[in-house]
Amino acid sequence: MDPQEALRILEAERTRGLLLIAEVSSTDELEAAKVSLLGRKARFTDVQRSLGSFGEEDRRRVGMVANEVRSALQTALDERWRILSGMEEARLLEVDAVDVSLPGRRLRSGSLHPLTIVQYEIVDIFTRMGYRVVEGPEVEDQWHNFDALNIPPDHPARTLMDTTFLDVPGHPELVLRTHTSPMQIRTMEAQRPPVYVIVPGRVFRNEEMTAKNMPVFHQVEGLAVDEGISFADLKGTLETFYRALLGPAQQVRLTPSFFPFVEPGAQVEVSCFACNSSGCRTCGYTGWIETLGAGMVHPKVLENVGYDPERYTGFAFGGGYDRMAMIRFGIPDIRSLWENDGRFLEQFEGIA
Amino acid sequence: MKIVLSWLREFCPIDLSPDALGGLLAGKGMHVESVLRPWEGLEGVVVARVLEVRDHPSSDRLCLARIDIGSTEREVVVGVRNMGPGDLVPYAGPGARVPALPEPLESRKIRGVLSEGMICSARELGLSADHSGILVLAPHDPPSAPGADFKAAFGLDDVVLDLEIETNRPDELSVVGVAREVSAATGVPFTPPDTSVAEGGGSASEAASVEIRDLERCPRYLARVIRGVRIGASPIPVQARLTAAGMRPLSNVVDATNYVMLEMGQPMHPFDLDLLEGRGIVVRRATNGERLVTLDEVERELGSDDLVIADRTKSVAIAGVMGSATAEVSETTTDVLLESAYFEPRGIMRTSRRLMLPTEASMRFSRGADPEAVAPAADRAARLMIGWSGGGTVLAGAIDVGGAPERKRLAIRSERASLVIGHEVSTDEIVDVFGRLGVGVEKAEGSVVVEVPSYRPDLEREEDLIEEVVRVQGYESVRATLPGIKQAGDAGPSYALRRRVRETLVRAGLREALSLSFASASDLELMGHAGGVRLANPPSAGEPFLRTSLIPNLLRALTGTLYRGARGAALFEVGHVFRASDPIEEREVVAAAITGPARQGLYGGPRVLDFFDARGALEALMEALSVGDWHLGDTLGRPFHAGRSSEVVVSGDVVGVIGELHPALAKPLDLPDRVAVFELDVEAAALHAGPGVRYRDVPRFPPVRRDLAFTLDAGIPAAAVRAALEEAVGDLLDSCTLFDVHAGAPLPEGKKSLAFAIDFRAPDRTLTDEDASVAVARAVERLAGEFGAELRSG
Repeated sequence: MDPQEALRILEAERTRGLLLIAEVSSTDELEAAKVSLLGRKARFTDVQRSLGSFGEEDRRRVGMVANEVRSALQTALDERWRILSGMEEARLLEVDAVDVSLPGRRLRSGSLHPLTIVQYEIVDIFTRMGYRVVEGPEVEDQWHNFDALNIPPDHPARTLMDTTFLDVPGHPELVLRTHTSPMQIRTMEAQRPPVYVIVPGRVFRNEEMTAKNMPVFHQVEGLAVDEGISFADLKGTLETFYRALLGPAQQVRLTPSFFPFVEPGAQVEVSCFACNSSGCRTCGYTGWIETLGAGMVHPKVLENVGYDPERYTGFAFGGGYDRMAMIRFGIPDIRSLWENDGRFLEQFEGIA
Repeated sequence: MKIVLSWLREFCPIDLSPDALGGLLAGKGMHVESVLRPWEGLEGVVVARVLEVRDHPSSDRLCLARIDIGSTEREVVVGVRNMGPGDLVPYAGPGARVPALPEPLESRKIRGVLSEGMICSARELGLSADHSGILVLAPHDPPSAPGADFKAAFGLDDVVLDLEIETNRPDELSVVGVAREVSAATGVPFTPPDTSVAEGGGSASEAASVEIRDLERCPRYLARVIRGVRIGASPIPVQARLTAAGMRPLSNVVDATNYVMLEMGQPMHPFDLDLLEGRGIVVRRATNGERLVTLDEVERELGSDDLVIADRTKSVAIAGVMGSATAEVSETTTDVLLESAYFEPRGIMRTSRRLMLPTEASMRFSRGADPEAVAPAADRAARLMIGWSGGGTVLAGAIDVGGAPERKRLAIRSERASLVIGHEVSTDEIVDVFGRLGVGVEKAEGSVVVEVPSYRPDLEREEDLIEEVVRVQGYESVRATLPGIKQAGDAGPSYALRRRVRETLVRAGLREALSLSFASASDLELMGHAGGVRLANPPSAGEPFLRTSLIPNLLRALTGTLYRGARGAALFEVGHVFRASDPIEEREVVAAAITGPARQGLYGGPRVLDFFDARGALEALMEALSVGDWHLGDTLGRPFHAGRSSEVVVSGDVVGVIGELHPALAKPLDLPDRVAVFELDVEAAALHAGPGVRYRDVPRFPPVRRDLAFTLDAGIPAAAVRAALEEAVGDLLDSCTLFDVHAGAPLPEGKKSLAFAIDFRAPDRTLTDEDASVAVARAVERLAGEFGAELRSG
């Protein structure tokens, strides 16, 4: 090949190359075009290989043109690559497109029972205040459930409790605990003051199932026994508790009431949070919701566990929280707490 | 206790609205259950004078009455002919309303004669149950004239407060007791009822006798004798009050005792003196098997713990509970022996409970009546009987056997009161409080000695007096303080553990359920549990046991939720289960039950939840409890699927069960074939809890990964193969994941393939292929030797 021939070929390849590059429609074709233009068997490569046979002047002249052609083709190839690969990528994504309005794949969480949720809230408030959680057996003996709590046999308060008795030969003393209060006794039997405990648990009253009553329900009991504990401390503790649970505007009212194991005794009511105390069905149009029984631990109870009532005083409170959960979540029928209907349970998925 | 307001005002003339009074009483411990207006439905009824009574022209039974209603005359048709010219009767004209009828009255023709309204019976006016005839006003009724508004004339515009009385305050089961509290709260003076009685015509002790044979059960028995009474109806306002207070007016003599019981809290009983054999009362225990027909016409069998009132030959009443017809006051009675006694409370409680016979009297006696009220209440009742029966004589004196105990004297220290209440209480303030209650006190140095009134059995020690102080001062006067707690709060390990259990299962997608603690015989049978704990009086007769397992209730919950249209459910419960032993075994367990499609909706597939979903939840649970050393042990029999169940073993102890329900049991329980459950003794498992999370250095060198598939006999457990594989690989093992289990073509019958992805790694260098190959060779050799396993690929 002579230099003239070489220059002619270079020009022809430049023209053919630019045309070819412009025509290809895929990156694969472009790759093939690149091979045919600049590959080992390409005519351009033939030219480069023959450069060595030219004189110095020709070699420099043809070499310059060859570089120029390579650079032009390379630029065109790169540019075309950019366009084609962009188009191909877009096509790929288009094929892979989804309807983003379809629902997401979720990891479904389970749910806590609403009574557990409320129990945790109550327990958390009291543990933050310095109380320890204790729990006790659901099968209880009558000493702990009644006698030690100053409720002797034939006492009206004992007969009003609708006790469920066990049928265990040789153990007529066994009952299903009618309240969490026996844990007052068990706790004090097991330790010396100061005592600050909170007792959540299941209790039993032999009642018919209705929209308002179940033979099984849940109570939480609090007990504080120390030197210098007063009725004012009880009042302040309950106010603090209810404001933490229900909101800072909550009003708490104590009125005289009788429970054999406290003296003075009180009935505890909170201002109705369903109607802001203006009166509604939830509060029976009174503006107040009865929540707990409370009072100063009766000296006889302290004597029964070997505490000196002259040295130690204490307060106790207790009440069901099933109703609290019902009011809190707007559940009208207590039986639905026990039906375990999926449509009921799933509503508490987001909580806790 | 229903308190009629006008009655209350007789003893404490307050001027308060029912609402204001209700608020005041609540603050003193008497909550208002309801405010009643018994005669709301009575309007426009007037007093009328009967002018003439004629036969109805077309009825034998009916009659016509011409009446004068003050302004004019009317004619009405009447059903009963018990009134005559001159009688005053209640008349409800057109437009008037009576409680017994839903609509106002109209003029209407009855058998062809126009009746302009009606004249009324006591029942139609809501006064009593008496519907035997027209209510004819008696001479002892308040005077009134034709045309007078009946409601106003007889005080029927009264309001009644139904109060909830605490069981320790029997004194508040009376109008007088409530009046005393109202007086203490308002400062409006309290006036006791008039108990003066005119006596004459011989002495009671000559006319009758009383003998108490059990002074412990009956510390005091007083009898008065009233001669020459005429049995009849009580005055209308008296009947109205009794009705409003919830009692039935019967006759003047009986009404007088009931009236005074409601008023003063002392139950009394009138006997017909002529029907008492030997005109004597004997208070004694019943003999075993002694029978008595009580006034409710039920024959009662008595025992030696029951106290009876008897005459010389027979029992005539169950003491403090109910009388019998034997010596009851009747229309022919002329001489009355009036019983007023004090009975020991617990005995009355036992008898009334055993006979399931709670009465107004037994309620008061069993809570503790006032032993000092025995005489004044009898005087008051005798006074009213004479007044209401238009004659008769109260014989002089009372036969009063036994007596009231001496009043207790209790001290209250101002320092102690201040400590318990939480604010300073002076002796002067204490004196003031008891002064308001009308209770006698003596002031001493730093304390006050209180003479406890006989009507306050609840005041037994200093604390009771302290309650009186804060109660009368008002609970609202107490400030709010907090105790200085010098300990950190703590949920405790056991509570925290169960909280972690719940949280883990919730994260695993299970929903917490809650079920009652009871079980039926078939629940126990289902679980194959003997030794359920039996209840003596189960709330539901069909479930006489305490639950031995949470599983039956969870299965019922699944059935229920599927029945209501759910496709599946995954439930768990944490709760107590019980087994008979001595002492009773009570354990806290967690159980789960799952069934239905693994996923639902758009991304759901054909897979249903099964054993491995339950196992997955169990694995998560064990991890949360930091229990490392656990495995599944022997397979289980019914109610489980023998091929898909196992004991759960932690450190050698069986602490639970896991498995699918036996398919044959699913159908009768209305459940799908695949229901997976587990139950785990939480505390037992946690006994073997490991130390929890310990940090290990993150590896710095890359792993070499090999996938190994082995063919071996189908019966060999994967866990055993894996354990051997891991052991053979040894120190270089970083992780080993079983990623495929396959049986069937192209494998021969009875063979399966297990494929593991293994990461090899060394902590101190980058492993070579050579290192991995050596380990693989070791593993292949071990598995070939131990299980006859062949390497398919790797």
